[in-house]
Amino acid sequence: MYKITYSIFISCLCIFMNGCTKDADVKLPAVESKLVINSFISPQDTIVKAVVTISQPLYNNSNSGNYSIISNAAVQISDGVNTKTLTYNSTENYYSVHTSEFPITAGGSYHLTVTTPDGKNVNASTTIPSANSTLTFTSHLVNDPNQSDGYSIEAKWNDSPGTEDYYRIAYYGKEYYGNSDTSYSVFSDYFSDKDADGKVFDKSIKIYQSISAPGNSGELYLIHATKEYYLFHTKLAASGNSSDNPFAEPVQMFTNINGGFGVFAGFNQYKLPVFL
Amino acid sequence: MKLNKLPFNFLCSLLFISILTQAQTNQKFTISGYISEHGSKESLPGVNIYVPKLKLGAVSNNYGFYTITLPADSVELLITFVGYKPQLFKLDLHKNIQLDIPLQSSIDLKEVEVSADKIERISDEVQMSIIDLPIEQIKNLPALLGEKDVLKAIQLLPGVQKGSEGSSGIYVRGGGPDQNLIILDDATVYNATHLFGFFSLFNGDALKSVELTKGGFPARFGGRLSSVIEMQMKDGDKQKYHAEVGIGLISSRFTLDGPIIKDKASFLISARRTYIDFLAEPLIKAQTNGVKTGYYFYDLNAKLNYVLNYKNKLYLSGYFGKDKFYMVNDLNSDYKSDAGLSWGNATGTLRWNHLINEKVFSNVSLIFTDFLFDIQDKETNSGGFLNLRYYSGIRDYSIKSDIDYSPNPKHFIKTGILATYHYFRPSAMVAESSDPTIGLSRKTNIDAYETAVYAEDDFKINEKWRASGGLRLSNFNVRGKSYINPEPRLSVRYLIKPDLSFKVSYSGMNQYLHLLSNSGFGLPTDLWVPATDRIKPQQSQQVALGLAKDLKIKEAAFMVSLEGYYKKSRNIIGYKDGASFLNIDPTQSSTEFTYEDIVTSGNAESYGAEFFFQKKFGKLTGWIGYTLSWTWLQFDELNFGNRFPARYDRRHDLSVVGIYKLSDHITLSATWVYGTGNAITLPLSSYQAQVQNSHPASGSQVFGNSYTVNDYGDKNSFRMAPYHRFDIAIQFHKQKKKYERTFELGVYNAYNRHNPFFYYTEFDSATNQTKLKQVSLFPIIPSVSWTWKF
Repeated sequence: MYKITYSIFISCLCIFMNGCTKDADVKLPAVESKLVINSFISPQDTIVKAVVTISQPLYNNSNSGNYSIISNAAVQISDGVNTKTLTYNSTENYYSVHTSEFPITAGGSYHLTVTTPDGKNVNASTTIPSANSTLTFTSHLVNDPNQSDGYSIEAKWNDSPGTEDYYRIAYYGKEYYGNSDTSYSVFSDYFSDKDADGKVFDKSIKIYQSISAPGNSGELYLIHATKEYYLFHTKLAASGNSSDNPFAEPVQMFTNINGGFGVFAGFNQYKLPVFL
Repeated sequence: MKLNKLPFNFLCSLLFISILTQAQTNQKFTISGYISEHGSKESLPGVNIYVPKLKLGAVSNNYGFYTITLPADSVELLITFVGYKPQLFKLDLHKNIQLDIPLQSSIDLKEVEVSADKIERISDEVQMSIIDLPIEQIKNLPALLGEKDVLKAIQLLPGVQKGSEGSSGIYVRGGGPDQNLIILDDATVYNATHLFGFFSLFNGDALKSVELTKGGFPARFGGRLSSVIEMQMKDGDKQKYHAEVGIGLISSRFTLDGPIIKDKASFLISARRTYIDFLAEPLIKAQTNGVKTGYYFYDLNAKLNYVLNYKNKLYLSGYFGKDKFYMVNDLNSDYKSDAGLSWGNATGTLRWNHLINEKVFSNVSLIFTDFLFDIQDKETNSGGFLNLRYYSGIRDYSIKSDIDYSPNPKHFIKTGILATYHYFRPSAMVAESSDPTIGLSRKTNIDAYETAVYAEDDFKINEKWRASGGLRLSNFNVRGKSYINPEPRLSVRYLIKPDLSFKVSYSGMNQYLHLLSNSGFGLPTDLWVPATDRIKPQQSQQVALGLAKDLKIKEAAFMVSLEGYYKKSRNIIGYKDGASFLNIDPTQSSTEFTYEDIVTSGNAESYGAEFFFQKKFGKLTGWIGYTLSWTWLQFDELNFGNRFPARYDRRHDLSVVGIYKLSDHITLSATWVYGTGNAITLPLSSYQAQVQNSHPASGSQVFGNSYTVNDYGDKNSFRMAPYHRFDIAIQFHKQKKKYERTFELGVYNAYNRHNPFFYYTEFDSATNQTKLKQVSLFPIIPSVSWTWKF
């Protein structure tokens, strides 16, 4: 419907208004390239990794769109006692260290610093949510009678009271068409316990995937996230959803990188196989 | 329970005060009656009745009725009103006197100028932050394409800002366009714009008076936070028929009024329609290969009034207006389509004036108002049909009763009640088809009830002090939730010198309606929605103080005012990041209409100073208005909780307006406006952001793919280029034997300033760079129009 409204509005403007377009006659703010960090760390992961790229000023910049990967940065992670340098992996284009060398623990606080030879320097901190010892995470599959190949997964978990908690439910379904043809369907949603502190979350996820074919499977993840994880992802989702709507309010992206953009965020992860 | 008793107690104390004051003096008599225009018998509101000896006065109400009670004596009454010859009456007051006063329209301007300082004195008034605009002035101002526009004239006043180029949206003292109560003959007009906001519904032909209140609100007004624009329609001449015909570049208009029964009943009808669709049809058809495409708007004002007897009068008035964009394809016999987008208002008011006695005047109004926005698409082919319709709207039914009571010239009491049933249709989608798999009917209606009771008294304490105090108690019921809020109002005037006064006012306001509006343009898709249990009513408190001075320079009278204000509002709504009214798409969602999910509540703070220098009489009339202001918003969910300037935060706003009557045949007019650019959010740089992936095996299919996002800096941290424009017009009047002709030449944006309407980014592949581009709407636009008055 909004495409109809927009096209009618624009055609009205074109027909009735003698519109005039030209380069904006206004002083643009000075903008510099900044370092962009994407790093998520978890006790349930095997590596600590960080992707380092660069932002580009939008206007009058012939390099705009060239978000090159920075491969010569000094990337260090610290837990307040130990500091470890992440090494650049030129195949995967990220900096990493194995968690056997630098373990991540629930409740632990971590600090990341990134320095480049041209003098750019950014840093960020995150604290992994404490392990919720009473958390129970269950799911079951419900057939959707209105849809062939339609199922609901009901995911249920309990929030711990008195703490600010954020969650993500992510489902990855794998459909196997024999040999090498595999497709993945994905579902993701984010929750905060702002109005549901200490309550049980009971969320239904609709999936459309044949479960009878051999080789098909699905995995359901519950991510107990930090606030920065939640804000970064919800803003990113809002930005994606509104990107083709010219009337939408701009989405201000979240960042916790001092002096740069992106995110450094921790999480705990719980995984359930849905059907195998 | 306690709250419910408040207005009753307040009323009792007012009555008690009045009884006391009455008891203190004996032998008082009342002079009362109606003031009307000589000849036409058009009632005149706002006329000053002044007793020089006692330094007491009264003002005629909206229906031209006045009452003044004075000690038995020989008294002199001076009756003055802008544009009319002053009159002096000498009366021996030994009994109640009924004195109906016909005022003669003043053509001889010199005579008016001499007594101008007595006609209207800003320093006398208790009310501050109130401006009434003479309709004649509005009609003399230069206008875009020659279309005279009441709301655009209001935008030239201090404290009032326009939204964007050409738009008739109004922002008063930092308030949004939804916070203005626009009332036409007691009926609320919800969407006051034509053609996506470029023209307003009101061209002035059918109007008698326009008054803007932006602070120090009397208790009789409520339901909006920022301003009241009250318009009264003309009654129609009770003696003779008159016609006025106007032809302009984009529209024509006519007004006809006259008696139905001489001196007893009259009518007025005024209509306007654009004809760009007729003129452009061949052109458009050629461009669209025969598909009929066009746009028009029309409006129609009509009024009937009937004098039952001296004590009883009836008025029936209505407004109907519609904008329509259409696209009809009937070229093929096997496929036809008819698509359209339309919106329109309809209002109706039935009023009964009843004079209870010479001191008490009452009015009862039954009011209907409706706004509907509609998109329709009908398609037929040999295989069947498909009808799609999306609409949204609001409809109100109200009953209102007001009483004016003046026990003595020191007290002017007004009290009343209002009850409204709101019927909201925020978003409805209907699909019908010959294909049985297509069929949809999704409507969400919300019923709400709004009631209010008020009492106010404008009272003179002594020679120097005068005050106006009141209380309004408002109630709103929606979905089982009930809000009750008291709204205290107070204005005080202290006369420092006979022509200089200090004024202070306080207003507490509540607004139970919200407007879901995309921030850019004044689109008719803006949705009126009620406060609910989840979205609280908007509330504001405003304090204003100021100085008012009547100035006389070489016989010319000027009114000067300087006001400062501070306004704090809470529970105002804004869209969440990434949201727009179009997220409310019923085709995409199986759940109910969820505007509550896409908005977030916050606070606003505005403060500033306004300077107004006005000359209302003489050959040269006009004003200079300057506003220095700040408007901040703070929403927990926007800009990471940090405060940010409102889009319409405008540091400087200046309007210079001049109308010069060169001779009886030529009138020159010009306006120059300057305003700081709007505060907007602009993308500054871009980068790649990645989603955390728990399932590495899925690889880039579900993750690993990066998203390009923009950095915007702080919200509304970028200023658009300042807005300024110069308009000029010249009118040639010619009095013929049977009619008067006015020919007007106008130039809008005379020095062709390219004011930005909006900015957008564009990638230039030649230079491999992204540029910031601006779109300006109106270059220099000349216009021409003719008006004939019979």
